[in-house]
Amino acid sequence: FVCSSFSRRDFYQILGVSRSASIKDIKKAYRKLAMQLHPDRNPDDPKAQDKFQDLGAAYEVLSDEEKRKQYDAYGEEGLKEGHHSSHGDIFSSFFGDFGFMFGGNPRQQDRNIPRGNDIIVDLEVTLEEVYSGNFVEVVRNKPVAKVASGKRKCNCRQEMRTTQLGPGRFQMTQEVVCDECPNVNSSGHGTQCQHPLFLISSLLCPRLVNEERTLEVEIEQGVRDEMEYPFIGEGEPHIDGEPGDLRFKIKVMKHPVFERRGDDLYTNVTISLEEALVGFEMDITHLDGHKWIRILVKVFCGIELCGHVDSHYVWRKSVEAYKEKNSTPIIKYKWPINQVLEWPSPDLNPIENLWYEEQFCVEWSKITKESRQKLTDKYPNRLKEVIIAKGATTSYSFHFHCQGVNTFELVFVEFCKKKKKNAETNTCIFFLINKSKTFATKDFFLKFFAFEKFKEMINFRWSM
Amino acid sequence: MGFIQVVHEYGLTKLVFVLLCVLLQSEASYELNYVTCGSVVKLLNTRHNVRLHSHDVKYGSGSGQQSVTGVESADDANSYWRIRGKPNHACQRGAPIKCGQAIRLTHMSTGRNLHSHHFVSPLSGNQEVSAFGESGEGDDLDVWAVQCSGTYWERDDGVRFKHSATDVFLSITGEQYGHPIRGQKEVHGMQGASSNSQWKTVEGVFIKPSNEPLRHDEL
Repeated sequence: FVCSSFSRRDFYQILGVSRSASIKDIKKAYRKLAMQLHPDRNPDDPKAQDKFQDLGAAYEVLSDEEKRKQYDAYGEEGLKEGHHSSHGDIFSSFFGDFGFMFGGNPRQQDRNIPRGNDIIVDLEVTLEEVYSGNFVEVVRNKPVAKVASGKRKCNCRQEMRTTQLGPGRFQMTQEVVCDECPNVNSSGHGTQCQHPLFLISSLLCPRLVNEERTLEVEIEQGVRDEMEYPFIGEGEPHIDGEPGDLRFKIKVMKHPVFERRGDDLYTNVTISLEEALVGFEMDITHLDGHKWIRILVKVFCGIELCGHVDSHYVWRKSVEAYKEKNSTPIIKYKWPINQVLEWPSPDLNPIENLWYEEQFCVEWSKITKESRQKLTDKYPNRLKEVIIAKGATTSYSFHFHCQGVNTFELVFVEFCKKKKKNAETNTCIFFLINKSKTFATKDFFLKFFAFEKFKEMINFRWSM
Repeated sequence: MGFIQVVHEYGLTKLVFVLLCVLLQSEASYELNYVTCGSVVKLLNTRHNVRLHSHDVKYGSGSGQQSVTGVESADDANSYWRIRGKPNHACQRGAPIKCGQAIRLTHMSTGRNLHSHHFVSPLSGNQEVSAFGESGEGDDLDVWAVQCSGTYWERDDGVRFKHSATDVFLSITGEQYGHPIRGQKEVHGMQGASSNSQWKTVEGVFIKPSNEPLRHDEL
């Protein structure tokens, strides 16, 4: 008899977890399996009770740090004697006192059985918890009706009774019918027990006694806001009936970085203009702590660059954001009226000007020779054609000449509101579109958008 | 098995033993000793043995807002209050409340906050205490400071609630209402701490602190 009851059980296998599973994984596995294996759920399985007992034993050992260590080292026989909690206790800490009813028969909405109030607790959770899942332990202290000896009448009501007085003669009368309920003396209902020795009186007058237990609320992975987790029977008691339920309502708190839409995560990232045009790498820490490294080519600040002109992007702020101190490049730009203007840097003599231009070309050719194919493969979107939308007030393009050959073209599209009288400047927004079929490096753009020079260019433009 | 049966079956010496056992067991040993943020609790006034309570009944005088009373019954869900941080200062779920910390008490069933202001209470002429706001959002008069000795608010402690804006203490002095809330006691704000302004948590759902950090802070 003793031999048969101690067959070796692999607790890890019973729960379906690895030997290195965290306590969270173990709780999650238990809760899922307990719902499936409960005997009430499997009335046709003769082994259901045993399987369920095994599950309870497995959880009891693996959820306790000390017991788990002993089990890992010495197996089931190595465990110290005495099980402190019955499986019923474990089960109800996840589902409530009447939790077993939910599987088979939902709690009867019988109007004859009065029910205590439900308690709804808002449970605030972070987006990290929703992403990875978690368990929250709560301590429920609740009043429980303590039963005294004897019975009392309760739920008294009027009912119609039909009695037969003779053949074919019936009489209907009204009767008072009562149920029998256990005798309970509740301190909250005005009938206080009095006794000179208070201590003894509290034993003589069983009343609502407070009991406490720990409950485990699961925050399931991916749970939606407002989802409720009920614990049956853990609500307010009712003297003449059943207790209500305790329901935890998930409230997902706003996250400073991420926003959930459906099952996608969105985040806003602030970048500079050149990052928007060229692409960049960025480290973002994900909700479970691991870092991402992403290469994003086309970046949205609410819009799509390179082609779609319906939306706008005010980028002057980004230009202000960085200043290139030393380089003052030579830029040839072409006006719509085909006027070509050159403006050299006042600081450089003609020879040095030429050097700058060469610098660009050299760098540019470095890029194109070494990585052009790789880059165009990676970023095919760079090859888009430009669409000039109706409504643009002006457009002008920049051509970068390299050894006489036109290697790079940027088109500058500008939308300006009508200039008001006496207004100093217009309100304009700009696009910068890469029209060439090649790729530019970050460095290249940095040099081009050296803030002072560009500002000068804008002023020059307006003074026209 | 009641006490009476024990007397019949055992001798007197055993009776004393049983008494002692019961006494020892009745000392509460909690898995969680602290009152924590986010917990939903009932508050018992230790002097008058009633629980802080509210319901959808408005004061007939004073501000006309939702009334707050003290009730004797231990099984009324309208006596539950949720512990939250002060406005714009969310406290972390499960974090123990410190003595002196400013909190709000939000009535679970109606979503209104424990509130006080310069109106006169109907029975005793002290400062009126009401339940105010919608879905947990009210104003700065919803803020109360927990006064206790020690570092944290412990479940066994008698504590006081001092109204941050007007400096009165949440109290009961025994006046009782008539119809329609017969037998319920008036809750009001009074200057000066006394035994009338001591409260203790009793029933409730106490959220345990989390072991791991809930949020990753680096980006």
